Amino acid sequence: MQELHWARGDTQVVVTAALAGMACALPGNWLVLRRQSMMGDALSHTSLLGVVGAFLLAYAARSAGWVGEAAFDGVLVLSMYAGAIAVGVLTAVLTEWIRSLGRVESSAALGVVYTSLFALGLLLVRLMANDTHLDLNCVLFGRLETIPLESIGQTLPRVAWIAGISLVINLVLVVLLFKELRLSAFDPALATTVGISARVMHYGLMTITAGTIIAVFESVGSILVIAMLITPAATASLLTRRLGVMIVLSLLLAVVAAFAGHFAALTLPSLVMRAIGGPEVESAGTAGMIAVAGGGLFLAAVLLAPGEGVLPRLWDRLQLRIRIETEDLLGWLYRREEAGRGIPLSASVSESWPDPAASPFERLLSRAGERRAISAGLVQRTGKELQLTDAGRKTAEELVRSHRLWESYMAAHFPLPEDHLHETAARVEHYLGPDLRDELSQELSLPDEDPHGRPIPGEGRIENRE
Amino acid sequence: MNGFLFSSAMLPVAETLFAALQLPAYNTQVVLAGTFLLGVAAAVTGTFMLLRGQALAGDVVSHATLAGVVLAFMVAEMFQAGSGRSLAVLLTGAFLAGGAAIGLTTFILRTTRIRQDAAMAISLGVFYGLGISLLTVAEDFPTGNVAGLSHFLEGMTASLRLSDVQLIGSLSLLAIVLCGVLFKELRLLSFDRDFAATQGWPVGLLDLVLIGLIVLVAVVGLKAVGAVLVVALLIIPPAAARFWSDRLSRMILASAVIGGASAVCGTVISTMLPSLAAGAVIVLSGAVLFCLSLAFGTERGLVWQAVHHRRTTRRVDRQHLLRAVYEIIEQQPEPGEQGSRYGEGEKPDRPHPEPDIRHRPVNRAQLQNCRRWVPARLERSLKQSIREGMLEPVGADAWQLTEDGAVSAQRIVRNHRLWEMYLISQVDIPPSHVDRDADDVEHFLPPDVIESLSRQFAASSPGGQIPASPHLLPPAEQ
Repeated sequence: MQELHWARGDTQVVVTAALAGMACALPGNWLVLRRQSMMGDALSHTSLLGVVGAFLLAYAARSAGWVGEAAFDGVLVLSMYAGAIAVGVLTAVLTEWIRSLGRVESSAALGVVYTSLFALGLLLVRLMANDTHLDLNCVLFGRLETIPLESIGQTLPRVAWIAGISLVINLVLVVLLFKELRLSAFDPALATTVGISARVMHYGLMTITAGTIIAVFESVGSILVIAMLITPAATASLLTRRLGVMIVLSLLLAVVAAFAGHFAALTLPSLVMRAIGGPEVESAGTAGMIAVAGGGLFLAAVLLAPGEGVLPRLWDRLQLRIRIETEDLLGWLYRREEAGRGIPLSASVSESWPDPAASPFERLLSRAGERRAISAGLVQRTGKELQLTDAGRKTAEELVRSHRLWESYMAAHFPLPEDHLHETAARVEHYLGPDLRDELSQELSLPDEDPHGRPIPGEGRIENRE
Repeated sequence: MNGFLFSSAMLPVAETLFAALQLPAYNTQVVLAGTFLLGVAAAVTGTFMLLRGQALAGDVVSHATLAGVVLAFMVAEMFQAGSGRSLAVLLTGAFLAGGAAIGLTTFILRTTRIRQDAAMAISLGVFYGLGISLLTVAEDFPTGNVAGLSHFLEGMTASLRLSDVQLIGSLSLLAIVLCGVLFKELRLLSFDRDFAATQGWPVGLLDLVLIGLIVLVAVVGLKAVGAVLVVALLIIPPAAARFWSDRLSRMILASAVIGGASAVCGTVISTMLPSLAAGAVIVLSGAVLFCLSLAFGTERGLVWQAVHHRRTTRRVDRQHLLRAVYEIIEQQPEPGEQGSRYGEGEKPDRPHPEPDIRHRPVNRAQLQNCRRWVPARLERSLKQSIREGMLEPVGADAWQLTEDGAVSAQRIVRNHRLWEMYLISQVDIPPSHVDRDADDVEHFLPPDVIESLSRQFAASSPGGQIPASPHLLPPAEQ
């Protein structure tokens, strides 16, 4: 592997990216909660028009002599923010207007508005390219990589300061307006009745989002902002259901994505190219890789999130299947004992356990169930034979009681033929607790036999079995 | 990469026009045909997507294609130097990446509780980030020139070659034909997917076909108008068509016309002014057509809505005027009778004979007092009623009902009072409030409702007579 040179410049890149990511993640949380994620995408596109329009006006003002050379840079920056915010709010207003007039979904209205404004922005960039110093590539793709070159001799580069200030502003707003934001995100109707204007919250959020986009577009590129806005917040929403925790997590994830993204940008391309025998290449673009790293974190959350990740859910289902196998084994051994009472059994257990007709995977599950039964002391293995222990017999009795009570209940309440009762009972027996069994038994006035004429064991009274 | 923005620096205008005039007409026609077909194909497929509520799926696809394009370029270059520039290769990569992005969105939606908007934003961001990263990697490739790849963001209509246009045109045509063949199925899918499923249609497959069509169009549009703007071709024409019709077949037609027209306009304009990127001009032409549709669309365009609203308001005004005339006359003593019909504060409780309402002029002061009209509005209603032959002027500032006017006025007053009685007896509105409540509805009562109301209140209006007002009428000053 190529030696990794981590220079001071790399730290600057990561710090800038982390600050930008955190600044974006804050409004992103609310966009995700309010189901307006694509609004972030739209604003990141239309901000181009805002920036270009502001540039045009500022240069026009300079050539008209309204703005002096000395103040020009400040005016340029200010007008850029004002322009982007104005266009951002305009996007939201036009979208709402078209949605209500055209009776189309707001996503379609959004599509109409932002593509038109973006096209206008592109045209203006073309027209003004000669007169001003606006680099379209910078606007669209960002230039995190060039930070070290620009900030020689500075502790923190200028773009990092801007992103940091934006982060602080967003943080203060979120802390101050937390209650209002929360209420209007989760229950807009209630928010309106207690006097929080839905419109003010909506356009306020749009303003903040547009401002943040402008603050960070110079470093990460205007379109990639969408990844920084939404991905950490969406990832955090998979990991928790508490809003405060979600916001903090999204900030952490933004930092991790910034670091992982830059690291991957430095190392991954040459690694992959060497592995597949491709040509020698240098690093990949950091901004893009941060978006990819954010996606990787999201995917990890999708797979691993406790309680609702894909893998934990699969694991839970597997555990359930194994528990059912264990219980089925107990029930089967109990019925065997019941049938063979008095007469010695000719066939050995191992001939019909696990079920020879089952698929290899099911047999594997059966074996796992058996092991669990043995280790829990419910079943004893002597040679090839399996036998219930006393504790196992007690559990098995409860199961069989559940099964037969359910059969009786079904027979009493549904006009089903006798041979249709077993299937549902075999499924339900695993989910009936003592309370439900008692209730069933009471309702059926304490039956002794199931519809097939077999005895229903008592509740945990082993001594009564004989 | 830095070069591509400034590489086509603006030519002086004269030279530009000269170049445009010198452009072989054949080439222009070819490009025009390609963009036209693309515009129509995008408009037609976009209509189905709009109706399915997935208008922004094209957005995800078009952003994701960048990764596919660059990846295809790199793979092709590795196998054979120089082959990475083939449009077919790049479009294949784009198609696969677009499909993968939609696949990722669907996966997120199916396995998590992340909602559609966030799922789309995530897969858009991830794929676009990947594309941009790969672009920087591809720059280091020893073979092949990567500069053109970033043009996929903006499109390069002017540099389309005949072979490119043939590919774009035939794929667009394929999309259009597929939409035509599957019209019935796609319509069912767009409006009631569950019903389609219960009818036994393979909705999963149809979903896939529709997504495939979107990806196809988005990919085909890459080279012509650019990745970011092709989504506009998918969304703007269908959204504009919403203002022309609510019927799917007409909506698709309108959408296709708008899509094709904006493609043609944009291409022609950018041929004349090469400094304008064709993609952006096409989209802006579409935006202009959208604004026109929003204003003049026959279904819910602003102008027609305003005209309709004004017509209704004025009709209502005239009806109020006639009722006011009637009620003023009603309160006057019959010729030869002394005093008002009703004493002060006395409520009429019996059916009364209809006053002879013709040849009983009323003046402006009486009308003005009866309903607090804005004077100009009263004037307009008066003029229109005279033109309609409902009123005729008597002397300088007084009017009386014509024969038609008398009939109308009786009908209007009767409807009003029937509805008032209904509100009082069924909705428990106090008689003092019922006048203005009835105002909102009386003008829109269909004949069968009137019929049933008059049956219900037959006792108050024997023989179709006008019932007495259930409340005090505003006093008409003499």
